[in-house]
Amino acid sequence: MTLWQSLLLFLPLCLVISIITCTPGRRDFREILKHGLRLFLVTTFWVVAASVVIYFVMEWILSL
Amino acid sequence: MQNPILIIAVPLVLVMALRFFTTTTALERRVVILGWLIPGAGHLLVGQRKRGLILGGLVIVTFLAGMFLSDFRNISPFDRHPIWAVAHLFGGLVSMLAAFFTRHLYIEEMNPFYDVGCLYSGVAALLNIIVVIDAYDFAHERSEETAGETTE
Repeated sequence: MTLWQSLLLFLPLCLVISIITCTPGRRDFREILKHGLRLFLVTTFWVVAASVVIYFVMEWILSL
Repeated sequence: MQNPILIIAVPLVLVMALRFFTTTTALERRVVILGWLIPGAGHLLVGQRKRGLILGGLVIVTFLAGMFLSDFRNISPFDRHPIWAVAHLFGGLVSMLAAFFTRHLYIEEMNPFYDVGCLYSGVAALLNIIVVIDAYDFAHERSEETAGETTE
């Protein structure tokens, strides 16, 4: 499985998780979508950032 | 009963079910059981049709997408994936029907998306817990309103 395939499969699942986890306690659906999308963007950013950091750390460890 | 997952899961589910049945109202029980069996159906009982259809639809589509990715061979509670079965338990009727209709399928060739499919279906079933909690929230509110009206 290539990096692009992994990314394309991760994004929809992350979006669904973000939207559904935002539902309890919120009555307005527009508000749910707003918070869900924000959570999705923040999660995606941190997952990608952490993956890049782990990639370079692993590369550095392997080069020792 | 040799499966360690069953040894842990069965008493846990029994204790939780006992507590649930002794502390909730009839409406709350109906909403939780229906929402567990059919994702989003609990919302329909409390008049939240649009919300129920969207949330239930998201759960079911994600579950089916997982099955599609793994060639419809990922739902198997006792043969192939006892650990995923704990997650699939929360999918209710969807998981049961999927396990029943795919019981004759076997893994014959390597599929690179198989694990992703397992993850999709497992996460979808677990997300149904949140959908049920959301429906319970509405049912609880309505039960309190009804209790308030009867005391007045």
